[in-house]
Amino acid sequence: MSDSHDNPTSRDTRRDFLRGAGEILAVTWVAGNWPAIAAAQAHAASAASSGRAALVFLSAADAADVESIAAQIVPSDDTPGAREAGALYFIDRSMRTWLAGRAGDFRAGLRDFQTRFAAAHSGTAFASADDTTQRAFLTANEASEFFNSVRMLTLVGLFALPKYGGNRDAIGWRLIGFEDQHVFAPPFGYYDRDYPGFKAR
Amino acid sequence: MAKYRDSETVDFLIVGSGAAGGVLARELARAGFTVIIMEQGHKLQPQDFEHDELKYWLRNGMTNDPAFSPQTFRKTPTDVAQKTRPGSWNPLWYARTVGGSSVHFTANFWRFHPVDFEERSRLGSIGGTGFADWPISYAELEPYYTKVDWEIGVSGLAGAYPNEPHRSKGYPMPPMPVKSSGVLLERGAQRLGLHPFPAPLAIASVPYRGRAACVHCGLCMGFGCEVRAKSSALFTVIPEAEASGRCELRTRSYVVRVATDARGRVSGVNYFDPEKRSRFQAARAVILCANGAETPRLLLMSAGPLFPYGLANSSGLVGKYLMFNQGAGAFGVFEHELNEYKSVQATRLVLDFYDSDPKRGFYGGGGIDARIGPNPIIWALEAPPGSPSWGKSFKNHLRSFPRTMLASGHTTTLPVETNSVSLDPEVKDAWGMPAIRCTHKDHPDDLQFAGWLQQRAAEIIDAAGAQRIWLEPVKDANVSVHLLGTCRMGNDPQSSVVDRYHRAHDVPNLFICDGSSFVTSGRGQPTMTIQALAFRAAEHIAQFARRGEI
Repeated sequence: MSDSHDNPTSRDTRRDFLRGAGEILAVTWVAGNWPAIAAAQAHAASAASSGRAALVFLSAADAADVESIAAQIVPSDDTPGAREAGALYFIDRSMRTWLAGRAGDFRAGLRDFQTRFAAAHSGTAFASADDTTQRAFLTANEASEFFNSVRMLTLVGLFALPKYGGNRDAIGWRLIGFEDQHVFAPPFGYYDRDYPGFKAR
Repeated sequence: MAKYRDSETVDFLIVGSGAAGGVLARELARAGFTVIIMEQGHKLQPQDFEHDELKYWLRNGMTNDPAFSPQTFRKTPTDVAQKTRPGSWNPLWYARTVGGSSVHFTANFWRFHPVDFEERSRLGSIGGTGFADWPISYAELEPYYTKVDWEIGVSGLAGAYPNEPHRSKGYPMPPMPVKSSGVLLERGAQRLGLHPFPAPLAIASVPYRGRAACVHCGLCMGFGCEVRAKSSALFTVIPEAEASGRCELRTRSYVVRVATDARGRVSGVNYFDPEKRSRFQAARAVILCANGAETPRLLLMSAGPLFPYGLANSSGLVGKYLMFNQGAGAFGVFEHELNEYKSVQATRLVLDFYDSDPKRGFYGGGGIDARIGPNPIIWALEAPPGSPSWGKSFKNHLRSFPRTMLASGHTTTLPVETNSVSLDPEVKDAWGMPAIRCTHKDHPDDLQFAGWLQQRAAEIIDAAGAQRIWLEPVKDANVSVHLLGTCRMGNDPQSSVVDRYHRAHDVPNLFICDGSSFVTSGRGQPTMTIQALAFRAAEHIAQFARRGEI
C-alpha cells in the first residue's frame, strides 16, 4: 500500500503494530463458513430443559474428544475455561437443533480427526493424551475445517446467552469482564470518569 | 390506521417501510394523500428485541435470511456467482422488518459535506468509474438535513467541528455522554493536531417527542432498541404515518412486480400476501423505497413488452454502480478498563481526512470514529492477525476485551459499473422469484484509501497511549449493509435512472428514493442522507400531485 505517511510498523515504537496481511477468522470468514440451517430450531429450549450433562448427539467417547479440543481452545487455568462453561453441550445440542443440516459434516470431520490422531499415537484417543501431545496435534491441524468449526462453536457458545448452554454460570462473560445488564450509566470506564467536558480546538 | 381494499386505487403505494419509505409515507399522508406501505417483513415491538448476539448476528434473527431470501455473489462478471450458504449473511444484508435497517443500524448520523455533491467537478474524472456530480447541492439538501435532525431526532453538538458544513439550526438534543473510547480518540487526535468532536447519533440522549432516552444497554449495532431511544423509522415516522388516518401499513406483503399499463404508466403492484397468495393493489403512483438491493431487483423483475430490460431501465443502469463504503479499523488495548460494550457505539468522530487529496496518489476520503466494535462473540472470533487464536495466550487476549476499543475508518467506494445487482439466472427465493446476484470488487483506490485511513486511526490511538494495536485486514468487501447507487440520480436520462426529484426518467408516475438514488458513496453512514432525500422528495412529489403533474 503506497503511503505518504510513515508506516507505524517502520517507526521506532514500543508498541506492537500488527499488519493485517494474513487471513484471519474475520467477520467475513464467519459469513462464508457459518453452517446453519434454515429454520432455527428450539436450541435454547433444548438446552434449558435438558439440565446438565445430557448428550443428544455425540457418543461419550466422541464427546470426550470434542471437550478436550474445546478445553485446549480456551483452557482452564486460574479461571474456568470452555470445559467448565459447557462448550461441549452447546456444540452437542447445536448438532441436533439449528446446525442439524451440518451434523453429518461435523461427524465426518471428527472421525477423520480421531483416525489421524490414533494413527500417529498408537491408537490412543485424543482425550486421553497428555497436554503437550494434544497441543502439538492441534497446532499441526490449526488450519483444518474441523478444528475451526470446533473453535468457532466453542467461542460462540462461551459468549452467547447462558440459555444456549455454553456459557454456564456466565463463565464466558466473567472471563472477559462483560456485565450482563440492560441499563448502564456513565461513567462507563476509567477514561471517561474525570472527563472535563468537550472543548473544541 | 387506514385500511384499503385491493380494488381501491390509492394515491401512493410505497414499497418498503424503512428510513426513506417511512418518511415519504408520513409526509404524503399528512399532506392529505391516501398511502399504502408494503413491507415484506413483520412488525416488531420493543419487547420483541433481545440481547441475543447469536440470534441477530449469526442466525439472521431479523435480517434477510438466505434460507428463504438467498443471494449469490461473484467478484467480477466473468466469475460464477456462488449462492450464500444457509445461515450466513447475504452479501447485501438488511433488516427485513418494519422500519427496515433503521431498526438494527448503529445510528451514526453524519451529514454529507458540500464536496460529496460536486466532487467530480472538483477532482475530475477517475478512470474505470462512473464518478459524477449529484444533480443537487448540499445547499439544496440542507433544510432537509435539519428536518431530519428535528423530525427524526438526532443528538449532537453544533459548532464543535471547525469545518462542519453550514447548518441552519442546531441539534435538538445534546450529544450522548462520552465513553472512554471517545475520550481516548479525542485525546490522541488533539495531540496530533486534529479536530475530534462529539459524534452525531440518531439516538435520544434525553427524552424526545414521547420517546425515552438511551439507557446505554450497549446493543445498537445489529440489534433493535428496547426502549425506543433509537430514532428508527419504526419508532418515529411509521407510527406518525399511521396516526394520520390515511396510511395503511401492510406487513408481510412482498411486492414482486410493479405493474404497468399499455401507455407505460404504473398501475399498481403485484405482491404476495402473508399466505403467499398473489394479489394486485392499484395505485395512482408507486414509490420504491425497498433499499439499494431490492429496489433495482424489483425493477428488473418488472420487465415487460414496453420495458424489455426492466422497468425504468432505458439507461441500462438499473442495478449498476453498486457502492458499499469501504473502511478498516485499528484495535487498541489500553492500561485501564474502557468497558466499550456499554452505551452507544461511537461518541467521538474525526473528519479531518474527509476530503480526497490528489497528493496521496489515489482517491478517497473518510472519517474515523471511536467505538466498541463487535460484541463478544464476533470479537472473540476475530483474533488479532499473527497472534494465537487458541490456547493460553489467546485466553489472555480474551481478557483484554474491556480494555479494548476500535478506531474505525469509514471511507469512500467509487461507482464502478460492473459492481451491480442483477437477477441470478438460476437461484430463486422461497416465492419462486429470481434471487439477487451481487457482483462486487473494490476499485483499487477504495482499498488504498481504507488502508491509508486505517494508519491514521492507528496513529491516533497510539498517541492516546494504546499498549497494543492491531489492524483489521483491508480487503475486498463481500458483505455490506450500505446499499447504494443502483438507481442513480441525474439530469441526463442516458446516464441516470431518476431525475433530481426522484422521478424515474422513463415512467412519470414512478418514483425511487432510497440508497439506490446515491450518485457517490459519501464517507459512510448513509441513512441521514437517505432521509434528507426522502423529506425533499416528499415535498416535491406532493406538489406534483397537487398540480396534476403525476
